Amino acid sequence: MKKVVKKVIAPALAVAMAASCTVCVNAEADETIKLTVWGAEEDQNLLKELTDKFQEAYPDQTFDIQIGVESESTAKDTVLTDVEAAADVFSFADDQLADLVKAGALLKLDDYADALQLAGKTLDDVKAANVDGSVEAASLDGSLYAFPRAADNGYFLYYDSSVLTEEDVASWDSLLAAADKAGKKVGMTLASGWYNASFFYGAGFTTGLNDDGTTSIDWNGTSADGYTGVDVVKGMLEITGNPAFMAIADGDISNQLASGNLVACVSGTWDGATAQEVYGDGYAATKLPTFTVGDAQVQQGSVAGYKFIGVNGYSENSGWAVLLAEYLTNEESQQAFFDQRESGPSNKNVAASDSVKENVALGALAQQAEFAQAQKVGGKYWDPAQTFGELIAQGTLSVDDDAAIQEALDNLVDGVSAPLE
Amino acid sequence: MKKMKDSRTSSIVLHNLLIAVLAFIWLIPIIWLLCTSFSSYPGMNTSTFFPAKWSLTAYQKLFHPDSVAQFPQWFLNTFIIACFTCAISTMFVLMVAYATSVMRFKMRKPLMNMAVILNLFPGMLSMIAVYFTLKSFNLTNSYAGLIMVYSASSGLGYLIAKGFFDTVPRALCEAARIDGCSEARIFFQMVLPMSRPIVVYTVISSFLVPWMDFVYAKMILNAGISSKYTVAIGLYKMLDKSLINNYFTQFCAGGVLVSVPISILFMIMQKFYVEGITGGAVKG
Repeated sequence: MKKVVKKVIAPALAVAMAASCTVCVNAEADETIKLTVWGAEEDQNLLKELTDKFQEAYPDQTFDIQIGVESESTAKDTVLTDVEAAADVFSFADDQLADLVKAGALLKLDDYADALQLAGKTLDDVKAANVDGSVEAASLDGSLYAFPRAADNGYFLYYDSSVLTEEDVASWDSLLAAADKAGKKVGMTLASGWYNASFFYGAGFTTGLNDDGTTSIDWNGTSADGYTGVDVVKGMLEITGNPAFMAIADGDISNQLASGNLVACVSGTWDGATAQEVYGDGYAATKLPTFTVGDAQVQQGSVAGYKFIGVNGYSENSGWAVLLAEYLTNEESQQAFFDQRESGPSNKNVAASDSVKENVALGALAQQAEFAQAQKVGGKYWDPAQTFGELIAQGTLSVDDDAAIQEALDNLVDGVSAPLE
Repeated sequence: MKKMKDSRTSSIVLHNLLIAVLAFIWLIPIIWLLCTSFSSYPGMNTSTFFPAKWSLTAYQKLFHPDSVAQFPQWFLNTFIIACFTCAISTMFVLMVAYATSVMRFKMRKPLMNMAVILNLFPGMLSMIAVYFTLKSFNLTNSYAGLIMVYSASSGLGYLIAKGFFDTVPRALCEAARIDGCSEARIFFQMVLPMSRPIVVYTVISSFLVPWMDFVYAKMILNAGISSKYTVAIGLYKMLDKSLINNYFTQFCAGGVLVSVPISILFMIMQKFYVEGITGGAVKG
């Protein structure tokens, strides 16, 4: 008898305890707004500062804001692993937007325009304050899904101005010749669809994201500017075949910079500090050089990337989360992000300030901006593009073999535009 | 006669040379890690094997936590988890081993077979199920959840301990039982004291689990709160694209420091490990 009582009562007690506990958590939530924010590791202190200011801006409301670490580049993977467990407010890179929206992980901000009234703003104010490209990239089917925070996710050319002149860095030919003379190398990552697309974009080729998630790509044909894909690849092979060129694995640029081999390299703001240290007084940056396609010199394009702060579609305090996300991306916050983290602002006013214009890396990014575009591709793009880049980097293809180049391009296009299973 | 001795000497020399070469090759990465951790350059630079300038800054920084690197806190977290995991899973392993070795009951054979078969499946298979189960009990982002995951299935690894207990003479246990000894007493006061090597081995090997696990820790501690990380996740986060330039050397230093408790434990373990596996022959 005793045993039976124990058996029945123990689980019943456990259930009762669990129930009472959830009640107490709910009761608390009515008074305190609990929010979690995910941002990059290096932004943690700044985020703490900004969220503190946010709390001061609403003294009538008590908040419990927790700040967690999630790099912008991997936010999508982590968020989609378990959307409910993800932060209310998180920052991410622009290429992740479509997938996040599809999974319901991003709140449609148009539905929460009312919440912004507390901050004395409308959604149109936000759109007007940020550069058009960033707003466009943060929108899907005409609705805004995230607040633009930064417009610095792109690449350009770092070089050592004590070795290279401005004329040298104008074209790949002169750049490689000058580097060869100095006994140094020029580095670029080719085995990544993010970098190697720059040659094709420059020559007028495009990629596009279809409604069903597949990617459209035209690199094996003739571009709007009248260049053939084969000629572009030949131009790339001319560069990779030069002894002064060094193909670098994705993410290894800073290592190679520190090794002292590179007199110039294609990279982004994240390697700015390393480049500055290595090049010292010669530290300089500019737009990407031109390269040879057929008989013409073509300006190398690039990918313009943005960083956004979005609100989780499953957030329990979505109104406050929207307000916080807006606060973290407003003009003052972007100014703070620039001052402390040298992050390139998407806010027009901050971007126009002198201090931003004087920043070497961001200045180069601005120069490159007119040749840059948002990269619209689906998930099937990356692997074939990486393989293709490796083919070129390793010199497997020969400059004279048009048929083989065309075949490699056809394979690339087939792989990228393949339907999703 | 002399010739034979010569050929034997030369073969010994050859063997040892081979072993020395292999040891050298195996040690290179460890030596590299150790050297790099003493570099004064904070980022990654693989142009030279030995750092250009030696310094202790990485270690000093590691013990002066900032928002990114909170190594002492991570170390403490991992240590706490390791202690609990160690206590719980040692108990599980030894109890299962005792039950299957000394006690006789109807389901003994089928249960043993089932345990072995279950153990054949890689634990990662159940990862998603484990995650959602823990989530429904609100145990994600808690050390309790992590400790449960690490120790819950440890009982399946009972085979080595059972092999050891098998060598304890059954007559002793039976004599004790006739004298009116309870199973618990036989276990704690007779079998355990005779099986010290295997107890120590189990304790140490289960202590090591949380230090070496990355996958489960990353999955369960998913709130991104840096001060709650274990050492493995914390060090991994230092390799992020935007951090590696400033934290790579600290990452190496962290790797060296983590290996310190593990290597010390392993040195102790080596002796008992051999004893644990082979000790049976002496006792029987």
